[in-house]
Amino acid sequence: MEHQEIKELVLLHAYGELDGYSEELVKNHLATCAGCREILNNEMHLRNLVNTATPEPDEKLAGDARLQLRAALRIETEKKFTPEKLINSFREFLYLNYRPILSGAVMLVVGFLLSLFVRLNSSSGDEQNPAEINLSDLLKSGMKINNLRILASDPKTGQMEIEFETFRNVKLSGSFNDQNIQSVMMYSILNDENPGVRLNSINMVDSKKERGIDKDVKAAVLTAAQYDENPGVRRSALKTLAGLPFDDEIKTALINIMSYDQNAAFRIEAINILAESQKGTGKIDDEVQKALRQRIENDDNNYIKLKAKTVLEERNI
Amino acid sequence: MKLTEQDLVIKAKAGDYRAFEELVYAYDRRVLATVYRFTGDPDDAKDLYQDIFIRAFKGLKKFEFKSSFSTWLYRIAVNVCLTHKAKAGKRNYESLDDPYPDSEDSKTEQYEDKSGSLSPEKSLLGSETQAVVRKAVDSLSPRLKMVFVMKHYDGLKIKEIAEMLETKEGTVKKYLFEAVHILRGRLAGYLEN
Ligand SMILES: [Zn+2]
Repeated sequence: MEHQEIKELVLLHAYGELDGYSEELVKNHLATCAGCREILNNEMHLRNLVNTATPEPDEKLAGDARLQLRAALRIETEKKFTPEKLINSFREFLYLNYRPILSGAVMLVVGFLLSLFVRLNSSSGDEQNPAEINLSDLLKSGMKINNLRILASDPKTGQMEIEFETFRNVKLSGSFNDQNIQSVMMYSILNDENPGVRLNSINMVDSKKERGIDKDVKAAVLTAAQYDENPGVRRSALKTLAGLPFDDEIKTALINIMSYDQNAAFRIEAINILAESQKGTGKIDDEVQKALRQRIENDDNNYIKLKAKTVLEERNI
Repeated sequence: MKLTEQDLVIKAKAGDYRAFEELVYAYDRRVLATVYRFTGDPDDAKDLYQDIFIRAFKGLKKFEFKSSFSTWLYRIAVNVCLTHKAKAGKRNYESLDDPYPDSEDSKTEQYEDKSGSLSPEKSLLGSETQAVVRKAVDSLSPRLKMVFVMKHYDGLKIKEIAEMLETKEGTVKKYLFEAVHILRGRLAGYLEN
C-alpha cells in the first residue's frame, strides 16, 4: 500500500481501531516511512496535550448529581400519582423524600395525612379515642403539624403524651406503639422546621426503640440520618440506626453516609457501625467491601482512607 | 438474591423506582463522566445527568430489549448532550459545514489573547493550558465534540460510537478526523516539540 493510503490508517492505529492485518501493515510502513512516523508523533502530542485537561467527576459531583436526580425523580413520580397509589407506595415515596428539598415537603405532608387518615379510619374499633378533637377531620383539612413536644413519658408502661401545633395545639395520648403517635413522630422527624424538635423526636424514638419501631418511623430515621441538613439531627439519627437490628436498608443508608456525608466524623461513624455489623459474619458483605475500597481510593480524609483499609485488612487475613 | 439487569428493567418498567435507582447506580458514574467531559462544567453536567435519567425513566415503558439497556441509556445520553443548549455566549463552535476554518476567522479571536499572553512551553500542564485545551474542545460542534469525547476520553470503539449515534462507522471516522484536524489547528502553538 502506498504512503497516501496508509496515512489515513495511522490515526486509526493511534486510536487502537485496527485489526490484525491492517495493524501489521501500518506498523511495517511506520518502520520505513519517516513522514508517517511524524504523523503518529503529532497525534500522540495532541493526545497528551488534550489529556491534561480531561475533566473527571469527583465524588462530590457524583453525590450531588444523585441527590438532585432523586429530587427530580420524586417530582416526576408525583405527577403520575393518584392518592391511592401514593398510599400504596408510601414507603418508596418516603425513601425518595428528604428534608433539604423543601418543595417535596408539601407532598410528604399529603402522603402522611392520607396514611394517617387511613389508619384512623381503619382503627375505628379501638376503645381509645385518639384525641379530644376529631383528628381525621382535622387532617383532612390539610393542617400543618409543627413543634411536637413530649409532655410525659412513662418508661415502665410506654404510655406517653405528646403535644403539637396545628391551628391549635393537639394533645394525643397513647402508647409509643400507638400508630398515631408513631406517625406524628415520623412526620416531625421529617418535617418540623425546628431542628431541635426533629432532634427531640429522634431521641424519643431512640429511647423507645426496644419496644419496636414502626417501619415508617424507621424510614424517617433512615432519611434523617442521610439527608437532614442539620448535623445534630443526622448524628442522633445515625446513633439510633446503630442500635437497630442491622438489615439491608440500614446497610444501604450507612454506605451512603460513609460515601457522601460532607462531615468526616459521620463518615467515620458510619464505617465503625458497618465494621461492627460485619463482626461474627463469615466475610464482609460485597457492597460494604466495595464502598470501603472506594473510600480508600477517593476519600480526601487520610484517616478515613486508613480506617477503611484497616477494616478490610483485619477481616481478610 | 441479586436481581439481573433484565429483572430490574422489568420492575422499573412497572413503575418500581427503587429498581430504577439500582439501574441508575449501575451506569451513572460512566454517564456522568461522559457528560462532564462533554460540557466541562459541573453544573451543566449535573443538569444533563438529571435530564438523561429523567428521560430514561419516562421512556422506559417504550424500551423493548431490542438493544442492551446500557446502549439504550447511552443513546439517550448522546441525544441529550447533542441537544443541550449551552448558556448564551458560552459556546462558540464551528459548524460541520465549515470544518476547516481559516485561522483568520473571527471565531479564533478568543484564543489570540491567550496565546499572546503566555508562553506555551512554560505553561504546559498548567491550568492556563488546560483552559486553552478546554476552549479548543468546546469550539467543536456538538457532534464532533461528542465523537471526540467518546473516542478520546471515554475510550469507546468507533463501532460503539456509531451505534450510539445511530450512524455509520464511516461517518464517525469522518467526525473524528475533523475534530482532530480542528484541534490541531487550534492548539498548534502548544504542539511544538
Ligand atoms: Zn508513510
